[in-house]
Amino acid sequence: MYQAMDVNMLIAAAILVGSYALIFSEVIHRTSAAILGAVTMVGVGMLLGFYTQEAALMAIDANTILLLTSMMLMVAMLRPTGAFEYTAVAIARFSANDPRRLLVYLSLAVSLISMVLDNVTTLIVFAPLTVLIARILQINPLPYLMSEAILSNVGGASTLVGDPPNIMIGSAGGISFNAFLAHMGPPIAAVWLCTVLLLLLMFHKDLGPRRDAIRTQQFDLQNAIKDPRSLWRVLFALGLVVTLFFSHHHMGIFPAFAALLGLAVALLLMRPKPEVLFGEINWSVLIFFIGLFVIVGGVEASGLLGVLGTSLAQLASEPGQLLLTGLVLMWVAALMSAVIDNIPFTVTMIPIILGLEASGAQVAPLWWALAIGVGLGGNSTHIGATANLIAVAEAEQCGIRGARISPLEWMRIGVPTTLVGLLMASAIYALFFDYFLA
Amino acid sequence: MRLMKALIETPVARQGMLIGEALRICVDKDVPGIPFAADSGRIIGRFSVRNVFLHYSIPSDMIKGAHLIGHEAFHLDLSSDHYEEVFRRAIDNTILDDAACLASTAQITKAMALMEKFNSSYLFVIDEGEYRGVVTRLGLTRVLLDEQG
Repeated sequence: MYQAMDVNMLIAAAILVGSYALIFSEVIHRTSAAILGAVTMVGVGMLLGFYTQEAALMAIDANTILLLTSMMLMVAMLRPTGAFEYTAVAIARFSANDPRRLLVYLSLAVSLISMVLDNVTTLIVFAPLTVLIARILQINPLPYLMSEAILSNVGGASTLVGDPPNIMIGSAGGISFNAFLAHMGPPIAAVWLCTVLLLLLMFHKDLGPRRDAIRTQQFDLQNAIKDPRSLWRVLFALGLVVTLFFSHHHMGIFPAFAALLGLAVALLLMRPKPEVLFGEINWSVLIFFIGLFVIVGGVEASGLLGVLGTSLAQLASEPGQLLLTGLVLMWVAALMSAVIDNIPFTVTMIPIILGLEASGAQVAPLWWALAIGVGLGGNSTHIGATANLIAVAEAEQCGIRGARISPLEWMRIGVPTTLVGLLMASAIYALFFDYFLA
Repeated sequence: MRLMKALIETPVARQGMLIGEALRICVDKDVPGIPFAADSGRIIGRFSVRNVFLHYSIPSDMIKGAHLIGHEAFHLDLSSDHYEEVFRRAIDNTILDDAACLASTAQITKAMALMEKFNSSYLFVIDEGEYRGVVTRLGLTRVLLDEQG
């Protein structure tokens, strides 16, 4: 029996490694690779008897998928109203032609929006607006694009809904929106402040004071809002969602249902055309996540992750060792997120941490370590986060002299900011470890 | 053959032609684009005035945020040096491969439907492999109006 389980584990691990190799190699699209891996895992698992179709369906975290879908639909309704455009242009006028203030305000806006909405969508909307603002003000958009991407990743790390890995971590760990914000908020706020200061320092040559005052008529704020009625309706529904996020644990509802409730209100108020609205959902991302859940579910069903959890349990048995384990996890997660997609890493780590919990270890600090690591690690390279790739692509196609962001240029800024951010987060994590134990 | 009443005869663009030359043909003939022909004479694409400006002169950020540009943004126009340099380039990189064509016997409604399908305001008329000319939405509208007297 024990030998048979070993074979199953090895085969499941081989399918996992093969699937991830296919995903990261980009020989075929990552979603296609995930579907291929999931189908292989279920098929082989059924043949060998360690995985079933029912178990595969149960492995899909519906809370994550429904929450992501609901928020995608909310953004799809908010985007055409012009709210993002209004925010960006208002910031440009408010900055009064001071490049440093413009950088801080734009980055702050993107970070705050990324705390509630998907930061990739935020960047897709803000990046071209940033280039346009830079074009009108005759400044280089590079510092702004990089800062927005980096700080939207940092901002998104602070909340349960700010980043897909956080949604998965929160869902698996049964962590409420408030608990997530309470534990991640303070270290991320410190990291955010540190990162802004560092970015201002590293970009100081591009952000020198300008003599000519901004002419407010360079921007047309009146035409920014395209549909005020729809804007207020979506904002009302979004406000409801955020309120429910803050109270979902008291009401005994999942974050996904909080988002679905707000979505239902928005749909009722907005009456959008279904064929247009549902076409805005990023199905590729959702199916990719579903595929990953099924693949990792197979590895878990084979018993491999349980064995891993048991063997790692002694590492996390004492507070001193637990702190060290958390720090190692944070830095490994950051390193992995810098070079590969952080989602597969997170999806794989979650059952291992759950396995540790089943072995009696106190895993609460490990959730926070994982969230910090995957949230900050992606900033060090241009391929580390999707938001970074959007900033690079926008800089590339804008045609403004000196705006192009090469991979080395990204690392010149990204590596120091990530290292300082991680050191700051590690210090807070270690100094206030008792708080993270709760 | 009502389509022929709206036909505008034009030369075709060929590999190596300069953007300035192709634009001049479009302007002189008052058409938004002309066909791009291979050495064999077969139509394999189109040269589009709109696409030249999309490709070389109007950044995508300005298109997305066009309504946000105020009336005191005075420095956005590109210099005449830029246009001179663009007009001296070969058309090869600006050619689109989706040339929408139809026969001269086709009905006006079909022509209009094809323009909608291809999100275009003009079509190329080809009979048995031979290029005849361009029809535009405005030209077809003129035919319909003229028929009403």
